[in-house]
Amino acid sequence: METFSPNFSLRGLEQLIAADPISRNMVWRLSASSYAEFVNVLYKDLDLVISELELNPQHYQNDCEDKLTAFIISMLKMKGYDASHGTTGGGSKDITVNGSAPSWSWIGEAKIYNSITDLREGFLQLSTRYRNVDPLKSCGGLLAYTRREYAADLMDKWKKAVGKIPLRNFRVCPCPSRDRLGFISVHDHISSGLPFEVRHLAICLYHRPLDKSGRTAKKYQDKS
Amino acid sequence: MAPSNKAEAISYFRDVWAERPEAAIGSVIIEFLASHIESRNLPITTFFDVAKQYSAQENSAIINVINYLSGADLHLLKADFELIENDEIFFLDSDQVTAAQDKGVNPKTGEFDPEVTNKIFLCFTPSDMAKKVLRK
Repeated sequence: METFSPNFSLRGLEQLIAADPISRNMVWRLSASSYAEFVNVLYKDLDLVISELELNPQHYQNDCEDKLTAFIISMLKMKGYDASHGTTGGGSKDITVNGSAPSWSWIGEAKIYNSITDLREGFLQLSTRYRNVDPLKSCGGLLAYTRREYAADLMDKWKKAVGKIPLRNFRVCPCPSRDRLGFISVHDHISSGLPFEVRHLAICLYHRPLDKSGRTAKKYQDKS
Repeated sequence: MAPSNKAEAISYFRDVWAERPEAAIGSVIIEFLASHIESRNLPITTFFDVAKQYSAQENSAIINVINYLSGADLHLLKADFELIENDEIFFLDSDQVTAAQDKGVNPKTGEFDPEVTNKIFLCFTPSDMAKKVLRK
């Protein structure tokens, strides 16, 4: 077929997609050749999707957990991931993301963070019930939708609480891309005895503006 | 997603993209792939030409479609990277692409080349799934 459009190189493509929330990171996704690379670029993409939610929290104040998670899954799908809700593997997982290789999977549990108990239950589901496709390639995530103030403080509290759950070889390390809004934990999976890494993320959806319109709007007054 | 035929593939694609412009572009491109199922190493511009013959489309929407069809959800396109230098073409593996992107390493010479990402191009071939599902 004869072509008319000028071709563009990797550099040209990167410049074109740099600001696009969907196809950004396209080259990294296409060139991922290991589970670690798949997870690394998935986390970059997940951070972009979370930013989309956090940009306009006012739109999501009344959405339930499932609706928020459906948004995330939809955005990940558009980026090309085989992302789904409710797939089995020990139970009905909130989020499963499969990569281009059959053994690459990432599982996620999402909770509205009203209390430590909510996240504790989600974390226990993730770490003791659900399964990745391959126990040698086990990464997952706990997404905490926070509609309360000071999400970073709430994550600090959760980090202290999760450290008290008796898990073998449990340790925590920072999540640089999310600062205090995230952290990474690793422990030996109770089933395989192999490391299971979980990325814990707060998604900041608190919205109660203090300007004049915010102070007088009925929808914000009803919250107090 | 493993559709069993072209109609299912297009229907699934439209469900994912809903009212966005990518929905229509994707349908056109999937039809094109079905008619050119033995094509190999198509430059990305092929899809721009296909989409724009249908109607004027934004480049970003077309790229979103190519990105999606190259991904794991509806894998109809297999993407390859090629280095084109001095009229010679070299297909690259993932490590070579990463080294070129991250460190500017020219896969052919192994040395730093500030222009290397201007010499690497994406090309696409209908995937095994596409050949199974879209072949008439």
